[in-house]
Amino acid sequence: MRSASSGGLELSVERRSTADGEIAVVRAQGEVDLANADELAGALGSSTCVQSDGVVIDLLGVPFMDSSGLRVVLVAAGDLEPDLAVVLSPGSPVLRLFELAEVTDRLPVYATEDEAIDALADRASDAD
Amino acid sequence: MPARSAGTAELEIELPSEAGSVSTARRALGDLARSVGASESDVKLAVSEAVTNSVLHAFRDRDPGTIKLSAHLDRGLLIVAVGDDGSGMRPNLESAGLGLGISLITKLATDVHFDSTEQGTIVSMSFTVDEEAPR
Repeated sequence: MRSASSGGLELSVERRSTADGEIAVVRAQGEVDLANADELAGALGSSTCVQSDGVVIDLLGVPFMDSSGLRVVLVAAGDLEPDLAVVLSPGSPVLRLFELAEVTDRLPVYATEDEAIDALADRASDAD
Repeated sequence: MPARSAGTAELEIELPSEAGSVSTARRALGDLARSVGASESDVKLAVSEAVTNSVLHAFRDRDPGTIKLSAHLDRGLLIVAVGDDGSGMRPNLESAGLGLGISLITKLATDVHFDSTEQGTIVSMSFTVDEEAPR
C-alpha cells in the first residue's frame, strides 16, 4: 500500500515474512505534524499492521516530526497487539524529539529496518 | 504573509488558525533561526508545538481566528512570540492530548512565558544565539 498526501507525507505499508512470523513495515517520507498525523495513524491502523506479529515504523525519511506525530506513534504502541519498533537515524531531529519527550524506553529505536525486524523476530521467538 | 524587515532579524507573520499554518510558521521561523545563529531544529519544534496548541485549543468554542508570530533579537537571544485571538488557556477535559507540547517547549527554549487572557494567548520563547555559528 502506498499513499501520498497533499501535505507531502508519503506512506507505504508492506508485509515482510520472517522465520518467526509476519512483520509489517510502515515507511514514512516527509514532515509529520498536525496537518497529516492522522494519515500516519491510518497506516498504523491498517489491516496489514493489525494482523502482523510486529510493526516497524521506518522514519528515516522524516526530517521533522512534532508531538502530533509522536502522539500517533505512542497511541499505536499502546493499542497495537503486535510489538512495535521505530527506525531513526542517530542524531536526527525526530530522535531528539523522542529523547526530549522521554519515550525511548517505551519505543525501541533502531538504526536500520533490518535491525528492527531482527529485534521484533527475536522477541516473537522468545515469546513462543 | 511573512514580513521581514530589511537588514534586521525581525519577522512578523499572521496566519489563519488552521492545521496548514503549522508548517508555514515552522519553516519561516526555522529559516530566521538559522540566519541569526539560533538552533533551527529547536526553534522549528517549539514553534510547531505553540502553533499546534493554538489551532487545537484556542478556538474550541468559536470560529477559527488568527495566529500572529513575531521574532526579534534582544541581547543575544532570539525572542519568538506566538499569539492568538482565541479564548485563552483553559482546561480541556475532552482533549486526549498527552500534554507533550508545552513540556517540549519548556525544554527547548531558554525561557518561556505564557500570557493568557480572554482575548487570547501569547507564548513568548527565548532561544540562545551563537553569533559565531556558521550560517
